[in-house]
Amino acid sequence: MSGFTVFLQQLANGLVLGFLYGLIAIGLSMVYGLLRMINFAHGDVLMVGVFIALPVSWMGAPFPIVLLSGIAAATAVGGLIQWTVFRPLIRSRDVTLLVASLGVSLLLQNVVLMLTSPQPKRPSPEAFLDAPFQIGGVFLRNVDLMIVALAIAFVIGTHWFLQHTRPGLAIRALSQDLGAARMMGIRVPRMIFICFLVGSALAGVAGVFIGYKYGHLNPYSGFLPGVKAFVAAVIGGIGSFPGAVVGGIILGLLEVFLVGYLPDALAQFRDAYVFLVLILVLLIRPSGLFGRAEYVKA
Amino acid sequence: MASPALELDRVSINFGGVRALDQFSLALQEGEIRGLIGPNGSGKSTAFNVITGLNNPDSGDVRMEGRSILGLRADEVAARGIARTFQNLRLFGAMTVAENVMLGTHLSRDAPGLVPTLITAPRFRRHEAEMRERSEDALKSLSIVEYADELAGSLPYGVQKRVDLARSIVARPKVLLLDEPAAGLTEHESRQLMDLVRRLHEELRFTLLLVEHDMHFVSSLCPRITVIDFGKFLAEGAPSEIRANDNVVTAYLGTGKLEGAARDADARGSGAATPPVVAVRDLEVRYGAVPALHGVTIEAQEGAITAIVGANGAGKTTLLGAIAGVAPPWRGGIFHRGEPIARRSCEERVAAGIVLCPEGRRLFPEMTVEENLRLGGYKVKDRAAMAQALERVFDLFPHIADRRGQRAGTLSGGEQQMVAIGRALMAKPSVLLLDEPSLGLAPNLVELIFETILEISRSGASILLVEQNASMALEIASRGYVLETGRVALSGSAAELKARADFVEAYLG
Repeated sequence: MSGFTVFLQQLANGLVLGFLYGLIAIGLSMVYGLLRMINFAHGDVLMVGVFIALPVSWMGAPFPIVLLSGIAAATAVGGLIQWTVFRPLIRSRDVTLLVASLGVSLLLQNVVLMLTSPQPKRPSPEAFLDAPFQIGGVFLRNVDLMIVALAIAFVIGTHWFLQHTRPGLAIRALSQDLGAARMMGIRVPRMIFICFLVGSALAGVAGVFIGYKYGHLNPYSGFLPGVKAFVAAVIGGIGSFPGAVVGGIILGLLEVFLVGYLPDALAQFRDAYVFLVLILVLLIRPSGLFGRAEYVKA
Repeated sequence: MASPALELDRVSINFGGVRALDQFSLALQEGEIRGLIGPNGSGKSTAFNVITGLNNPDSGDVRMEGRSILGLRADEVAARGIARTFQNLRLFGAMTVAENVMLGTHLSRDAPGLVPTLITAPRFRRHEAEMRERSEDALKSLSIVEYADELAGSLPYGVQKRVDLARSIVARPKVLLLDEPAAGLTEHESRQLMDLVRRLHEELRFTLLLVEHDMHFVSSLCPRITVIDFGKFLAEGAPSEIRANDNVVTAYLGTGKLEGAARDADARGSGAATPPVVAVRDLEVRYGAVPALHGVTIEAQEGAITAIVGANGAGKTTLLGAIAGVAPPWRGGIFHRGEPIARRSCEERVAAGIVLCPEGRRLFPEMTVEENLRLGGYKVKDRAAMAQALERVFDLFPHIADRRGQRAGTLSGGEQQMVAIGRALMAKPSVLLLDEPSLGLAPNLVELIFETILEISRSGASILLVEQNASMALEIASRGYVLETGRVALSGSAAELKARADFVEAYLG
C-alpha cells in the first residue's frame, strides 16, 4: 500500500469516526447552549439506546427496525431523565445540573449492568452492512457509508428544524436569553424537553452504528464517546450547532491520524490525545471555532 | 501653548463597513472638563474605546501630552494615567465595595513589580498601605464609606455608580473618561453626582471627558461641548452656542414638540366607571428573604397610560415583572379584567395580551431584527396575521424596516429600543408593560419613543409605563403612581402629580 493510499484510508476512517462524534456532540451542544449544563449522561443515553436495539437485532429484525428501536429507546430515556431529573433542577446552579448528570450517568450504567452482564455484546451480523467495498485503494464497509450518509441527512434535518420551524426559532431564542424568551410567551420547559428529545435521538443513531461498526458493547460503552463528543463540541464552539458537527469531524480525523502515524508505543494512548486537544483548545481559543465571542458593548 | 492633555487626531475606524468614526478630532487642554454629546450610535463610546485601547483605529492618531498612545494595550493606556467608567456598570458584584475600589489601584503608575509583590518586600508593603489609604480617601470623597464592606452587587444603582467612580479615581488618573454617568439616575441623584464630580475635579485636577445624554448635566458641568454625529465632528462651543446651533438641534436635541401633543391622553381613561384592566392588590414580592415590594396596590384603567415613577430600587421593575409573570408574588393578588392571574404562567399571560417590554431591551443579539420581531409574535400562529403585525411595526418604525435582516446586537441603542417596543407589539398586546423605554437614549429619540407610546395608546392598548424621566411620563399619562422602597408613596391623576412636582421630586431622590 502506498503512502498516499494509507493517508486516504486514514482520512476515510477519520471522517466516519468524526461523523459519529458529531452526531453525539449535537445533543450535548444544544443542551449546553440552553442550560449551560454539561450533560455527562448523554453518552449513557446512547448506550441504553443500543442495549434496547441489541435484543431487537438478535430476534432477527432487519437493520432499519433495529435502528428505529435504538432511536426510540434513546429518545425515550433522554426525555425521561430530562423530565424526572433535570427539569425539577432547572432553576438551580450549573454545578447542580452537572453533578446530577454524573449521577444519572452512573445510574444508567449500573441499571444496565444489573439487567445484563459486563460481557461484551454485539448486534447480529448484517451481511449488507458488513459487505466491504473499495474505492481508489481505500477499503470500507457499507456501514461506514451508511454512517456518513445518514449523519449528513440528520444534520441537515436538524439544521432545517432549527432555522425554519417555530419551535426551532424558539429554541434559538432560548439559547440566547432564556428570560427574554419566556417574556415572548415561549413555553420554555417544553422547548428544553424538545431539545433533549432531538439530541437523544441523534445519540441513538450514533449508538446503533457504533454497535454495528465496532461491536464489543458493554454498559460502559457510552461514557467515553459521550466525553469525547463533549471535546468535539468544545472544539467547534460549545452551544453552536455547526460547531458540534465540524468539531466532531476534526476530532475524528485527529484521533485517527495520530493513531495511524505515531509510533506504536505512543499510538496506544489515543484517548489521552483527545483530552490533550481539549486542553489546547481551552488554552488557545476557549470559544472554539464557531463559538460566540462574548458580546461586549462598552 | 503646551501639548493638549489628550488629543484625537483625525481618527477613523470602520466596523464591518460602517464608519464608526470618520476623521474625528478632539483636543483637551490639561484640567479641562469637556462634554461629548451626539445621537445614539454616533460614535461616542467608540471614541472612548479608541482612547483606552479597546479598539484600534484604521487611521489617525491618539496622543497624550503630545506622545502617541496608539497601539498600546488597555492596561498600558491605564498605566499612562487614563481611567474610565462604563455606561453599563462593570463592578465585581461578588466583591465588597472596598475590594472593588482597591482593584482600581492596580492601574496606579508606580505599582511595584512581580518580584517585590511575591516576596512582599517592604516596597510592596509600603505601596499596599498607601493604596489602602487612597482607597479609603476615595470612599470618603464619594461618601460611600458606610458601604465599604457590603457586596457591590447588592447595592442600589446610584451607589454602584459612585463605587465605579471611586474605582476610577483611586489611581489618580491624569485623564478621566466618564461614559454616561447620569444614565439611570433620578434628577436628585444626578444633581448630587454633578456636585461630586465638580468637587473631585477641584481636588484632583484631572482632565475630564464626559459622554452624557442629560443636557442639563452636561451644560452645567462642561464649559465646552463637542458634538459628534455619524462619527464626524459636528460642532464645538459653549453650551449656549451648542443649544443655538441649528445643526445640533436637528441632529440631536429635538424640538420639544411633544408638549401639548399629549393633551388628549387626559381625556381618555379618566372615565373611571369601567373596571380596571389591571389591578394589583397588596402585592408582596421577595428576592430571597429581601422584600422588593411590600403591599403595593395599583389600578390601571382600560385604554389609558398609567405611569409608575420612583427612585432606583423603589420596585418599579419588580412590579411590572410581577404583572408580566416573571417575578413570582409572595402574597397579594394580580387581576386582569377582574380575573386573578397571579398563579398563571408568563406564557399564559402573553396569550391573554399582557406583554412586557423589559428594561435593558433584552433583544436576542445574534438574531436578525425580523427574527426578533417574529419571536415577539410567537403566539401568533397565522401567517397572514404575522405579516400584518410586521407591517404595522415597520410602519411605526420605518427606520428599522431597512434593517430587518441585520443582527439585533449590531444596532445602535435607539434602534434596539425600537425593535424591543416593536417586538412587544407583535404579540398584539391589550396591556403593554413598558419598562424604562427612554433609558440611555438621545433627547430627540426620547421624544420619538414617547410619541410612539402615545400612538400605541391611541390604537387602544392600555399601557403601564415605568420611567426614570418622571416629568415626561406624567406628561403623556393620565394617572400616576410614585413608588418608594417597595410601597406606593403617592398616587393621583397625572395632572395632580405634576402640579405637586416638588413633592413628587422629593420621593424621586
